[in-house]
Amino acid sequence: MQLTEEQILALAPDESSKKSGKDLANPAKWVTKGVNEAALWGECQGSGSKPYQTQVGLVNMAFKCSCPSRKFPCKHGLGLLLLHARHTTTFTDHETPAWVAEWLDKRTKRDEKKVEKESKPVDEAAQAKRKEAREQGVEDGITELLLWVKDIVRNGILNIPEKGPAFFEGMAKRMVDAKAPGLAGMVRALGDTDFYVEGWQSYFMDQLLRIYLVIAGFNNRASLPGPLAEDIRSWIGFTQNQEALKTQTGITDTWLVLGKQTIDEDNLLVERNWLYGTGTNQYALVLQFSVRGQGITFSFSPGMSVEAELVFYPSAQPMRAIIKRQLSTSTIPPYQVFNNWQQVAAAETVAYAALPFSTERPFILAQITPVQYAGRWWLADDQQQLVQLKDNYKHLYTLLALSGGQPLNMAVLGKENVYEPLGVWNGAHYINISN
Amino acid sequence: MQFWTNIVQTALLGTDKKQVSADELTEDLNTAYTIIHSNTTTDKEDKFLQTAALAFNYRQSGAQPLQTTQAVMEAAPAETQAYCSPAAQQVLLDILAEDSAGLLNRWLELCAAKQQIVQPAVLPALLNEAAQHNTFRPLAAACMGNRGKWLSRFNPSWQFAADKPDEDLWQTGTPEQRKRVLLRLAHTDPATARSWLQETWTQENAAGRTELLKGLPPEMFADDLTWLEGLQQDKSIKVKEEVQHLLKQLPASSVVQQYWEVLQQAVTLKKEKALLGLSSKTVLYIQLPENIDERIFKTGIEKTSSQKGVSDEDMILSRLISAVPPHLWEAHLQETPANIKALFQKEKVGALFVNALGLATGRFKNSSWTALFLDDEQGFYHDILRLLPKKELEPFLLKRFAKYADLAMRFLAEETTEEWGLEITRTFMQHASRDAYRYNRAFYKAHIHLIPVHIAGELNKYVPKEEYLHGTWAGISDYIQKLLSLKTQTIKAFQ
Repeated sequence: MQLTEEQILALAPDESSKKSGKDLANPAKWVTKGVNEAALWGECQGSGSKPYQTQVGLVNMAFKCSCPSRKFPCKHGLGLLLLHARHTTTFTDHETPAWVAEWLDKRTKRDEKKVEKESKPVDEAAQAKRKEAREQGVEDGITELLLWVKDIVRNGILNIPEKGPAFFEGMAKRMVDAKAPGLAGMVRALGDTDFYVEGWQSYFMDQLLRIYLVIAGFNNRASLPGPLAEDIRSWIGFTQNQEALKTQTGITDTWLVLGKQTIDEDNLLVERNWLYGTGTNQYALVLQFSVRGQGITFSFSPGMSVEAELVFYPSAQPMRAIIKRQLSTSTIPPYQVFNNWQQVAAAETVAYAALPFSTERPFILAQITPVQYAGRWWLADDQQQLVQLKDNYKHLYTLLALSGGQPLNMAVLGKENVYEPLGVWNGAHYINISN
Repeated sequence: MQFWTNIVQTALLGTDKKQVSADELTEDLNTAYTIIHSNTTTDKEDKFLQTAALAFNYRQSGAQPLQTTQAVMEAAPAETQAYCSPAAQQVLLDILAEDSAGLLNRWLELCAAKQQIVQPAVLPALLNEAAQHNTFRPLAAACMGNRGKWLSRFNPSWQFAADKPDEDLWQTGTPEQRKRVLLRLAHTDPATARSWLQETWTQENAAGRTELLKGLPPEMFADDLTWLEGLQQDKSIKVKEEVQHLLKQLPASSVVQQYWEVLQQAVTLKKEKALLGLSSKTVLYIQLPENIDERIFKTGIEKTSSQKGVSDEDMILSRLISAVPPHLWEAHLQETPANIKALFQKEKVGALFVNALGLATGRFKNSSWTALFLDDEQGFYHDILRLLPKKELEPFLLKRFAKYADLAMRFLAEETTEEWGLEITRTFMQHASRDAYRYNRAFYKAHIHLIPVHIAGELNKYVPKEEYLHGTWAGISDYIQKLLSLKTQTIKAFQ
């Protein structure tokens, strides 16, 4: 495992951790340090009498530190990784110390325990009863939501901007009560429409119709094919038992992390990791959630390659996945590309035919150039076909600097005719430029 | 996509007022439309929502890229200089993250000296820094390569980096760009600078005229004073102030000549008998003329004294002395500079007059008088120190530290551009460690380029005696260490 400085810094939970981590990437701060195939470790002299013991599991990028910080990874973990990246040869100790061996051992035992726990039998009758009660609650909620949607279209959306946030928040809360948190989120997203932007009406209708499609799908669930019915359930907010998912055989591949987006939702940090399976040509979305810095299991940074088994949630267009097991991290393998926007459009057609309410998807394209045309920025392929660059894309100038007017292989995220770059390749090196 | 516009328009009005008809949709959707609208079990809202959902998916499934041959991007020219090493690039990123102007300046100096350029990914950050800090612009331009110049076209705040000829910038550039071009030309080709300024002068507004004059070297007008003198009639008070500021630094200007005429009448040599008439001594006879030229009071010479114990007349005289080139006294009094200084020193307010002579020496950069004031332990002549090369300046400041520590430190921080020697840095640190309020992290961040890296190993020697300052100094010295480490890495990266 050898991450670049940029990739290590992308693991940081915030800007201050990045800064503090850099300060600690100084050999003078570390009393001991070592590395072997399994782990990287070091003892960092802090303000206390005892140095902090910092360790990083290299197989799956796990962190542990004896410091009191709640951040994950803490500044010591980042500092140790940065120090290793800058001064690899100074890590001359390769024999695992007892405190590191103990931690690695505990992690292995915990994984074994999990397997034991998973094998315990469940009360299927009680589970079915709970499921039935939940579905009834959701059905009632959905009936109410459908009436609300119909009221909106009956009265027209012209005066919607005047209704204020309470109009949407009230219905979102009703959906939470009805145990349909997915729909609650969709209603909140509808209320988050920027009514000051020209064309808000079209965006509002897109989102309203997505809600309607989910409602209609749920009401007709009996006639839907299995995977699509699972999509509908997932959008409504029925959770999938992750442990049950992990019992299935997944796809083992070398996954390239194309982008990482972090969104703060009511004190819950949602990490959206877009992955690409280099062997299977499969794209995946791995979500991780953290509350006050706790809860992130896997540490991803764009450009990193991860050898792992991913299990996909059942779907008509599988995208969301969980990591069943991570084997090791390795170098960047080759990847397949879409040659032009026409090929992307064809793939989108297939995807929407199967899953009409889905949103943005990632794609890797060859030879894309940012161009200015008709007063805005576009992404052009070598067939002179253009799609719009997403408004407010933060890294426009970095993209231009990297391109210099020349085409680049590019990972993008988007839909229809609007895309934002996640990263570009400079030779074999992947550079993260996601928002 | 007229069909989608029709859907949105129906949604705006509401299904109570309007329904979508089949002919408002595309032909492909007609069959589905008929099925939806022939269903008698659904209401009009359901029918609209189903039709709209169908149109929504038709739209997103059929989205096509725009085909055009007109979206052409001119590529950046190939680079002719080598990129800096990955190590140098990494240090640059760390410096940008630290936001240290001093270190960034040093890094750019070394990169430019090696004729290397930065990697493309860091160009936006570098251009942003240069946009915010004018002083970085020439060095940033030297290190950004062709890619940086190409990139700067796309951001209005980076126009300073666009590779335009001076004349184009002068004629079409932003006020800031025009000022910079004029300033550069004023040093290299004063005649052209004067002619450009004169050509557009009448088209500039008062604020523009003031800004253009600010900071110009007075020597630019030395060969042609007439035009500058004429500007004293400008309607704008601010323009007039700038004009006078320039004229006061030019020995041949009318204002300096007016001052000198008054002084010539006011100061004369007189022989007095001494030792009961056995010998004679030469003294100055100083008295302002009765019919003083009143114009001098309209050019910044105050009539009243601002200093206790100094008469209005002496104060006017000292102000005039500080505003005329000191060498004029040599011809007027027929004495050497040393004697002239001694003569003024003997006066009742001798210290005031000598100080005025010192100020005049610095202002008019009069090198034959400089040495006189460097030996003078009574004064700290800021303007004269500016004329000294580093090898003379630092020993001089070291001698003055005991008496003028504060002034010496401020001079070092504000007026020097070259890295300090170890000895003066040590003295500086001894004093600065006790004044953490002024010499704080922000100070070191801005001035670290002046501090030699060798001081890093000695910082623990400057722990202040006062115990309550120990914690603050520990934090600051850690920070200095960090900055010096970045400086060391910068130097190594370009070796």
